[in-house]
Amino acid sequence: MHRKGGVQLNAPTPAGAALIVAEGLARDYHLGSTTVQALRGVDVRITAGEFVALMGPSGCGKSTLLYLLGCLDTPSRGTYRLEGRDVAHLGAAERARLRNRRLGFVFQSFYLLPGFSALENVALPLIYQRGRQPVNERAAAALERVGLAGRAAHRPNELSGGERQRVAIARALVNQPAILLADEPTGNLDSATGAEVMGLFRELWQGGLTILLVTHDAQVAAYAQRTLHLRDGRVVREERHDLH
Amino acid sequence: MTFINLLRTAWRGALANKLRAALTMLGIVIGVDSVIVMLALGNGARAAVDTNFRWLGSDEVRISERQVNQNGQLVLAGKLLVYEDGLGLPAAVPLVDWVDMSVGGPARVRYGRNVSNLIFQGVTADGLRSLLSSGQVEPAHWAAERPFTAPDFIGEGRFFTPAEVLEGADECVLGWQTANDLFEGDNPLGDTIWVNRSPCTVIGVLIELVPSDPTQRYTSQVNAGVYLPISTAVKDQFASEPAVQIGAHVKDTNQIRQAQAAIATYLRGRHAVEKDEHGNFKDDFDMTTRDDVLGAQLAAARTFSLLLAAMAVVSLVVGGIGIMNVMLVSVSERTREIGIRLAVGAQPLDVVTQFLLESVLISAAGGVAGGVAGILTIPLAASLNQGVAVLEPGSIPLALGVALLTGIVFGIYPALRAARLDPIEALRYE
Repeated sequence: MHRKGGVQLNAPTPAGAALIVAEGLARDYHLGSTTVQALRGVDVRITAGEFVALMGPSGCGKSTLLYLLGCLDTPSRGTYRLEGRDVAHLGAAERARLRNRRLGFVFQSFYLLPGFSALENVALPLIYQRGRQPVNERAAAALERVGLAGRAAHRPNELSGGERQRVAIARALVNQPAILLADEPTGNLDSATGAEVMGLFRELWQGGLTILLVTHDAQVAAYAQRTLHLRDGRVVREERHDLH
Repeated sequence: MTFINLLRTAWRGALANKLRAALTMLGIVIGVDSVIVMLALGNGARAAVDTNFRWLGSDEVRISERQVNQNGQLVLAGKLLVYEDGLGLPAAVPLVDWVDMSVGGPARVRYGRNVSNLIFQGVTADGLRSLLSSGQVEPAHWAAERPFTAPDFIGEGRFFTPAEVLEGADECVLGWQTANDLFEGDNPLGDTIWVNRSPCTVIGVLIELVPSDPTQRYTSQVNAGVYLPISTAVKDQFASEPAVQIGAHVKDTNQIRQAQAAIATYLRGRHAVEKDEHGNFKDDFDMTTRDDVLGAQLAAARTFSLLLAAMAVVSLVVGGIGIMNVMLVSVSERTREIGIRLAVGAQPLDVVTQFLLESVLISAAGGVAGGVAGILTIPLAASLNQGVAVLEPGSIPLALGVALLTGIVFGIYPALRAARLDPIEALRYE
């Protein structure tokens, strides 16, 4: 199931080195006889240690881009190198392995498994890795990092929205990913809780984590170092923020 | 993902909806139950033959005269089977190794003032060998290391020689109890006793025997009896030529059918059997082998077994479709879960294994429940089938294997469907 060799996994990319290099990324969806071009050729370059936001109105293609960069999907055209490796044409099993080892996801609706405790949810990526390892210890450490050490045994329905999202963030961190990909992480939270979650993102970034975040909220995007504005499947503007 | 983790995940999935899983199992339970009971019936038929036809060795062709129904009365179809018929058999049919023959009848046995009323038996020099091959008796006290053989039946003296049997010597061999009854502890060898109206010299006494079937230990009098050479019995004990029982033992059990054909030819020649208008021989004898008896017994259980086999197949297929249906529903209900697992890096094979294990767990639980149900319903089937149904030990693993196979066959499609889901679409599924 897992192929040996190839790119060495879990070797951290040094800060400032190119982590994501995508050129001319395009994604077409075929709906019956019509073709919808969700992405029309996008160049993205993210270096290790960066905090980048993708902004744009609904349907601009920002989620599609996030899924492509997150290896949940493959581009119709264009090239994509992740940590120097061409990953645009990988099969489902290889992409699953990359997501499992190198990527962490945070979604708007948290996407936790309902019947499982916070700890079990955080451990989920680890149990899909081969070999024996201290799964529970690593999961507990990740929970502690997001400030939820005391909630390990709680199930998602026993947690508040903000806590759920923090469990999801712990799950995204547990495999020590090269980059954290977040899709509207504050979309289901009230503004105060959203600010807390964004504070956590900033902390993690200051700790050296690379983050790519999709949002349509300028206040959320303001946490990032730079923002790529998308419209109709193209990057129309790039903006750098002064960080406080 | 390690197998233990997969198993744990599948276990939780299967337990998530207990009632649904239990109902889904039902078909498998009934199917496995049917398989076990069906095999128990076949096994029971075999066991019944083993018990009831112990005397019929697997190497033996039992020959007897044919009787036909004529106006409500059984009459001979032709000639009697007589001593000479058996005497010439080994020479005429080379496939036959040896022949045991016997006649029997009531006897009043007297020595001095002591009298016993018992059954006499006219036998050949192989009488002890047929006693052994009948398997109906065994020695009461046999502690010796070496296996028991026919000559070991003799306690004192000896048995008849072939020459004595041929010439019709006035000699006899006594059962252990009869010797005690007549001689009250004195040495019987060389003394003359009377069997009905004929005198004979005692040349041997058998050892003490017990019936091999423990249920007959207190009813059967295996130690009472007197053996005579068959020619002596035929000559002295009957007013007219008696019918004899003939058992032809073949050299090779694989050639028992050929031996039967040769025996038929031999007897047709001796009895001058004619053909009817259709060209078939009007035989005046019947032949029975262990396979015939077993076949008849199995045939009796066949209708019931076929019914059960049909029930097993239908139940397993219906049960399998039930599992497939439940798993398809489960995959559809848990699309979001599958999406999450795929997003965090579950391999498609992990997802296949998880759902396949889940269906196999359901079918295996059904198999175990069916196994228990099968063991519990065997007595019921036995009562419907003249009391013969015995658990066939191999049927438990077989039935469990069938259950597992059903789980795999009907679980593979839903599992593949789960693994082929697109992670993004699965995550967005409401």
